[in-house]
Amino acid sequence: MIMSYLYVVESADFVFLRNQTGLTDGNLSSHLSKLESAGYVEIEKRFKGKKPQTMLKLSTKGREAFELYRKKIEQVLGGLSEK
Amino acid sequence: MRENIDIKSLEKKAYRTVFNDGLWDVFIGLLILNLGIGPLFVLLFDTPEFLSIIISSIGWNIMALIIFILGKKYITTPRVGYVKFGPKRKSKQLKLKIFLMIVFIVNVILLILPLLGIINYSQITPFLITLLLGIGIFAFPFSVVAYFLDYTRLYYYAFSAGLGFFLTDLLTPIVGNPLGTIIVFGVIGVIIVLIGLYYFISFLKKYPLLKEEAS
Repeated sequence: MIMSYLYVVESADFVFLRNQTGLTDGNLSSHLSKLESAGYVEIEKRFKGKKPQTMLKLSTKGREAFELYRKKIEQVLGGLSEK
Repeated sequence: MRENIDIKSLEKKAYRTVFNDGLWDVFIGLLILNLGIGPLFVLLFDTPEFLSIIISSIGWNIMALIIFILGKKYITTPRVGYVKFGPKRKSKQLKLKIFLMIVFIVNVILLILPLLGIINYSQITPFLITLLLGIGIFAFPFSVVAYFLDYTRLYYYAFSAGLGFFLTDLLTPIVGNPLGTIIVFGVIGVIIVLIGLYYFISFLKKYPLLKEEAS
C-alpha cells in the first residue's frame, strides 16, 4: 500500500502517507526503513519553518520494481479463468 | 502489498482528500454571497451603487481568499500532510491557470467596452444579459474549473449560481431591486458556506491534529 500511494504521487510527506494508509507512526516508519534499505524509497528529512518534515518519494528503482510487480499481478489475475 | 490495486482510483482518493476540508466550498460560497453583499451595502449605507459594490466586492473577496489560504496552510496541511501530485495533475493545473487568465481578460474587456461606449448593455434585452451573466460568468467558468480540479460539488454550485441570475429576474418584480439580488445570492451563498462548514467540521473530526512525525 505504501508503494502504491508513492507510485501515484510525485512525493508526499510522512503525515500524508500515514493518513492515507491508516498505519501507525511506528509501523509506517518500520516499513519505510525497509523500503529505503532496499533502495525503493528516497527519504529526505528537512524543516518547514521550525517543524520537521519527512519527504518521501519512490526512487527510479522503486518505480520500476512496482511496475514489474503490477505486470506480474495482472498476468496472474489474467490467467485465472471463471470456469 | 495488496493484489489488484486500482491505481487510478487510489490516485483519485488521495487527490480528493484535498477537497474534504470544505474550505473550497466556503470560498466559493463567499464569492457567490458577495453578489448579495454589494447591493446590501447600497441598501444599508445609502452609498453610490457602483462604489459600494466595488468596495464590498474587493473587501469581501480578499477576506474569502485570506480565509482560504490561511485555512489551507494552518488547518488542512498540518492534518492531512503535504503532497505533490504527478505530471497529469500538474498539466491540468496549468491548463486551469491559462483558462482562468482568459476568463479574467474576457471579464475585464466586458467591463471596459461599455465604459468606452463601444457596447451599450441597455440596448441588449434583459433576458440575454441574464443569460450572459448566469452562464458566462458563473455556470460555464465554474464548470470548467470543476472539471480541471476534479471537484464534483463545484458543478452543482456552478449551476446554482447560474440559476441565481434567473431567479433574481423572477423575484425582483415581486420584492423590488436590490432585495431580489440580496435574497437570491444571499440564500445560495449561505447554503454553500453551510455545506462547506459541515465538511470542515467532519474534516476536523476525521483528521485530528496529531504530533508531527515519528519517523
